[in-house]
Amino acid sequence: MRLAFAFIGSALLMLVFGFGISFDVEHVRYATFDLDRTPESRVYLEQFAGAPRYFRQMPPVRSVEDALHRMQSDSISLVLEIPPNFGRDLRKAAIPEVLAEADGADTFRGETITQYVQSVQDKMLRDPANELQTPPQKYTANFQDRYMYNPTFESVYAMAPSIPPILLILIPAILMAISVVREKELGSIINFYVTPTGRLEYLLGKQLPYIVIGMINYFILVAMALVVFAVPIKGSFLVLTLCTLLYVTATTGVGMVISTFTSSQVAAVFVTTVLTMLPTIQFSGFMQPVSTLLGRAKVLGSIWPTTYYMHASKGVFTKGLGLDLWAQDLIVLACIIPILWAVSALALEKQEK
Amino acid sequence: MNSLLNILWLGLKELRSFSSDLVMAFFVVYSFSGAIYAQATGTSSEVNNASIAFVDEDGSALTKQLINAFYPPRFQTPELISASEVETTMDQGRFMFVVAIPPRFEADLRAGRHPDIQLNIDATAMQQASIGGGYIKNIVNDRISSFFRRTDASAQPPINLVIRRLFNPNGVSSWFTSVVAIINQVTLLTVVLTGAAVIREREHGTLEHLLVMPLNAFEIAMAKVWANSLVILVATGASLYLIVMKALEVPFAGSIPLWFSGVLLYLFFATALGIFLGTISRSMAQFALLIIFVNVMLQLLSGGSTPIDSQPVWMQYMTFFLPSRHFVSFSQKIIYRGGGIEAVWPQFTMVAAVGLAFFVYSLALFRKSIAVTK
Repeated sequence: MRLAFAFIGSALLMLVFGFGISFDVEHVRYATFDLDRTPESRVYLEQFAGAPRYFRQMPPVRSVEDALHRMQSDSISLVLEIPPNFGRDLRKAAIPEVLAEADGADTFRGETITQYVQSVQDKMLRDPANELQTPPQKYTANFQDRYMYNPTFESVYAMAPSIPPILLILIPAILMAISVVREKELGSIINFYVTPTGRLEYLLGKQLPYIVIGMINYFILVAMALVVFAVPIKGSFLVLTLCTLLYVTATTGVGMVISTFTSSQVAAVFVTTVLTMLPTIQFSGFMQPVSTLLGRAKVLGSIWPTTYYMHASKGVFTKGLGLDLWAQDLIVLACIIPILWAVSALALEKQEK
Repeated sequence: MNSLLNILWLGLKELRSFSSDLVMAFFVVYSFSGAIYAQATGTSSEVNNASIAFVDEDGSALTKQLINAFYPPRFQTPELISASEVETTMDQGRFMFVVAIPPRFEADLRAGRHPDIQLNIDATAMQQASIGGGYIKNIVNDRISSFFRRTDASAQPPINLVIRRLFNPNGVSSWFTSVVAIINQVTLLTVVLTGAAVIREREHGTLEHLLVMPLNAFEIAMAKVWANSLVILVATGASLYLIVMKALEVPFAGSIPLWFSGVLLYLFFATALGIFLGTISRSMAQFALLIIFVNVMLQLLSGGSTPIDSQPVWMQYMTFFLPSRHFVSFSQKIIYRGGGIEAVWPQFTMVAAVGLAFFVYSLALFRKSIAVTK
């Protein structure tokens, strides 16, 4: 029952995130504040209305207060203000200013919006048929963007390989921690105290079934990536499976370590979620590359097993990496396992205090 | 009156059992201090320390200038590679961006042509890829135009576009991430604490102790709501003041009492959700799985990680029922944009409505489960 639940839950999350999470900023709601009202200002503003994928026009702004008010209530995210005499200055080549005010409350979105505005203007000025009666701008280069590993720049290609690393640590770690602490709480751990079972024997015996569960979960998630999201595996499936085996062993090991210093199931659930959620989602290369993290986040990210498995998973799915490129992930994951074993074996008491 | 007293005493009992668990208390403190600080200072959607390389097939004075335009902290010092190395170095993940400048680049520009620059972007890191790509284009075109302005005044663009970012003029992403981090911790801890409090009583059999006393389900549930909310509220307040406002120096544009009223509404929802999850799960392991699924969902779809507007439309309709989305939204409005009650009342209403629905439903469930144990 619990097993079915874990599998269905993971599959569901994979679906939701694969289809639902996207970094594409589109249909930005904007309003114009045209203080000039000349043919030139209208031509300028029309360029934005002409990019409906990125900009969606809302009723124009009447005053500065109106603009601020509508920005505050989030009904618009961008105001384009054309100053008086814009048209005249443009004809006299006096370089008029246009003010674009973007909502920066969400920093990523704000930054993206300002870049869109800049590129609309750049494109307009370069276009000889732009009706602004300015000579087409000289001295600009054309950029040909080439998005490697994700040619259409779709979020699903970045998401599908990133979800399994997240689920394959959160679920195995917590189940493992609970399973050991449960014995402590219910008292059945007495069997371990009174029999000559070694510490490592006991722990590995507890770990094995959860590694199996993790692997089954992995096969389900990979099947979904292939079938539902049509994200192909460019590299070697065998390598990814090997990495997963090491990874799941490591992540159940994390749960094992936590189980040694918690004594109630409540505390085990609590500590595991608090400890694993943050580094897994924020510091492991899911949201941003680990190399661009700073300070303690970077330290945490570089010792967290998810970082290496995330790299391997993205690499095998999208890049088709060769041996030399995933070897590091494999080695690091393999090294983490005995450390976790050693820590838990040392911390597990053979006698109740 | 009697009922209120019961709720008060039961709540104090909750607080006592919480404070006797040192491990839990320690992790609550950590979640609202170290965890938030590390996330706010360590992660950013800005481009930072990005690795970049150039393929310079022109070798002119201009391209030297372009390469020099990229420097730390935003970019690592650029490396020069040959055209044949682009694929392998990017496969290895050595560079996020590789800019390839074609032969005769400067000469073409001088002749009034628009030569192509190839910009290779590692698109597996989507946020950095799109923002960093934009930076590179702006920096390159700025440099080109200032390079030629020395000899030709018409190199200047005929319109000067002034871009201002309202509410966060320098685009410091710790302003946003710190508050999102608090929101995530509030959700996680409140749900776990309340839900666990319900399960613990059941597994230890102390629920029966409560039931033989003259108490009803509403009182038991309400006591858990206020006690756990209080713990989180105090932690949130301390975290907002010490970490966000003092250590990270994030300005608070709107009204602090208004924001805390919103937090209270949200805590009501989160505790109700905790009781709900604690009541429907039959074992701790089941509860743990539910916690993970629900929290990952509440966190990643709240608009704190990726903008709500970027979600597909059908998804936006679904996330409309997630109170965490409204929590992020009203926090943005109050903390950064300085909006008042007239700007945030729709979010407040929605959080309260979902919270109330959960509370009423889980109270009924809780009653039923108690009746069964009776």
